[in-house]
Amino acid sequence: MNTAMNKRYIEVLAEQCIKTLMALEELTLNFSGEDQTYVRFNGGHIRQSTSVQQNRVSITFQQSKRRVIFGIDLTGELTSDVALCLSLIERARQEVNILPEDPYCSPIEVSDQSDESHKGEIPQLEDQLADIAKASSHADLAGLLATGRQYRAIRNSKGASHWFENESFFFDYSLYTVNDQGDNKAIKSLYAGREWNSGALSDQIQDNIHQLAQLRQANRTVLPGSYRVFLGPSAVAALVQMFSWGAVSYGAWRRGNSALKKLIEGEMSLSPLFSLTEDFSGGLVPRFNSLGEVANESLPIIEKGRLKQLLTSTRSSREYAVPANGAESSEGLRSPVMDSGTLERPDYLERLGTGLYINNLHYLNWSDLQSARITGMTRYACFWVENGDIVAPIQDLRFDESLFRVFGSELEAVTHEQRTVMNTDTYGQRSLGGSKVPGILVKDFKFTL
Amino acid sequence: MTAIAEATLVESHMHYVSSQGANFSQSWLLISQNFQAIAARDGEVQQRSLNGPTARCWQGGLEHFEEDHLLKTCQKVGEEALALLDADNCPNTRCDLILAPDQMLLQIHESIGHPLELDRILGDERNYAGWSFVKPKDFGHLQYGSNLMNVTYAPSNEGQFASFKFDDSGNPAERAFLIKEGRLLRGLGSLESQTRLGQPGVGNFRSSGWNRAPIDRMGNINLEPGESSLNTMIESVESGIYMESNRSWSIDDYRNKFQFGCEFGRLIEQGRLTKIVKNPNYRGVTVPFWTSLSAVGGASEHQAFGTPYCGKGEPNQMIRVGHASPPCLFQNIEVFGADV
Repeated sequence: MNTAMNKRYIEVLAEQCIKTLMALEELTLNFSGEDQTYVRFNGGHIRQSTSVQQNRVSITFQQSKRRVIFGIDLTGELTSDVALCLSLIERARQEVNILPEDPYCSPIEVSDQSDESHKGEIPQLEDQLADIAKASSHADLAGLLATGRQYRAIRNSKGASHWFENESFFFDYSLYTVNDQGDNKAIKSLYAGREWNSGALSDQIQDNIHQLAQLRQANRTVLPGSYRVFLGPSAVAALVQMFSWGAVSYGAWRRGNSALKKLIEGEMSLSPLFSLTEDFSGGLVPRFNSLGEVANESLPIIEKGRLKQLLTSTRSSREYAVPANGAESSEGLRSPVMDSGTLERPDYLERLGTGLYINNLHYLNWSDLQSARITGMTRYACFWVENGDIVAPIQDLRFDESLFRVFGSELEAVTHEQRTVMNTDTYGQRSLGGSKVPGILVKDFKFTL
Repeated sequence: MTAIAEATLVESHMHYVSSQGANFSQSWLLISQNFQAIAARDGEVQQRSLNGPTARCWQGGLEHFEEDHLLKTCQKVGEEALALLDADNCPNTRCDLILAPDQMLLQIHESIGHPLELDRILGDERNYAGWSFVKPKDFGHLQYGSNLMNVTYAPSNEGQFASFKFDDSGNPAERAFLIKEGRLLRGLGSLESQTRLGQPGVGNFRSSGWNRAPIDRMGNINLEPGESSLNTMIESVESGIYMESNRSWSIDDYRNKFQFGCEFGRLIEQGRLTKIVKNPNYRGVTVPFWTSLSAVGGASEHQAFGTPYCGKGEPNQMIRVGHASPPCLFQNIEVFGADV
């Protein structure tokens, strides 16, 4: 990242923009940037390497309930960045007059301030790559290493000033083998954090290589039908992510697009074992949203199967006359935490008995929104278990199940251990955040293909 | 009833210069539209849109904003959303299935486009979007579907969403048959993947922007017109379902087992379209599904759609694709509705 792109740079740039505002005009400047190296692996070799230094500002210009938003990449050279932003503000000033009034456009009211920085201890890229090469030598490995600094910042014309900076890495990878029948089999893993530890990485990859041996056995054919399943934390994280597809959004519910309509309206409930909280205490993601509003550190969403609150943005607040709770405009979860339970690790397989042990799910989508039904696939290391013992890997299966069953009537137990599953999305820029979830035991889970 | 209207206009310019002597510019004006109605009554909610929320994508201008035509078709969207509230659920059965072009776009995209990407076949995508059931030895040999199946890479179609002259390696993008009379001929990979795999490909090395390296991407992947028509297909079906407009999609990482849902369905009984059914879904496995293709509509019913949101790659890239198709008839497909 351009070393000039820091808090002071953003402060000066924002001041230069805000001081040009005329009467009734309001401005929010939403900054994001990263200095990331992305290294893609295939077959245990580097496939593509991309170094990205990018700084972007989204300029929201408001006047009399009319709003124009421009986004632009910054150069890191102050004089030209100020000129660029001022030219866009001038253009917004012209364009805003031709827009109709937006009744739900909120005046800028927030003036909060925050400053949060998380420094990492991350070695040079060549050392990270050497560690990966050493730990995975001769393994058929595919994956992505993303490493470096990210920041988010807000300045507005009411004085709001927020800064969030994070220095971290993730190595999202999978290891491959071929089983006795000639089928490809794989195991998926994630090594992520702020402090790189060569030994921990090596141990993790060696564990994975050892686990691959279990996948070399012939597949057990599992026919479509209903089975007991244990879903590991990665699989649970994929299901929890679906709550952000409108399910816990106040606006989506009012528009008829929430999968949890029947929970919200009291027609159905989830299991008393299921509690979900928007919890920012882990520091994976800023508490401020793109308007500069700061959410409570902890927002209970579902408590023991009952709805506590929906995520409500300022826009929904104005449209439906309800209180906002600092949600982003998309009203999705930014830092979900599912409560742990009492099932201890040594008991996972024994409690499962006979059924499927599923580590990962893939390509989830609503198959029937109104009944919160989701379809998707099993993926990577999934096993058939009999009487508490792993018998064989399975061929991937398609499931079609409702959240009201998985986290409701069929939820038998929740593990005591939770895992933080970092967000590895990198569309446009590396995402922040992640979820903290346990594993779950489900009594009856439907597979269809 | 909630009504939603959205339009996105993107003006894009690219100037490509390489040390090998390439020097060219390309410009695009990209249009995406969404016209959607959400109807609710007595706890029932149904959503209907014009061709699906992300399908109306083209290159062009104001010809796509002809007001009278749009208002008329949007009125139909609203009427159908209301009609769905009173409709029965799609039955759970096996029957013949006719897919409209605005659902064929998704069927082509997921079960033909992605599995034919050479970088997927090479395993580059294994840790993210997935691998492919297609093996290098399948090119020239695999019978992918019935002999009515003719699929082209068509980057030069005027007005289609993912048309371009050169890819991001400077490779000319030219029309080529990927599948002819059901037989797999070539995959979707540009110069680098062609060399790595020793297979022919096409000019499709593309990046989503300046901050991402190019990889093999779909462009326009089209099912070529056949000789049937929607009316002829309907008349030929004793018991079946007609489905329009995608609303749900999921497929495995090898691109075999898929399940897709549509917004709007109508039963076909004794050769006639009869009552509307809500929540229509179908599932299948790629090669058997395409093998069941038994009729393909003609050129007059060939319609182009697309999406700006095809995701792939590590780091991730979102890119535009286009898919054109006439309506198609598939035999003996598993269809189903929602929980009741």
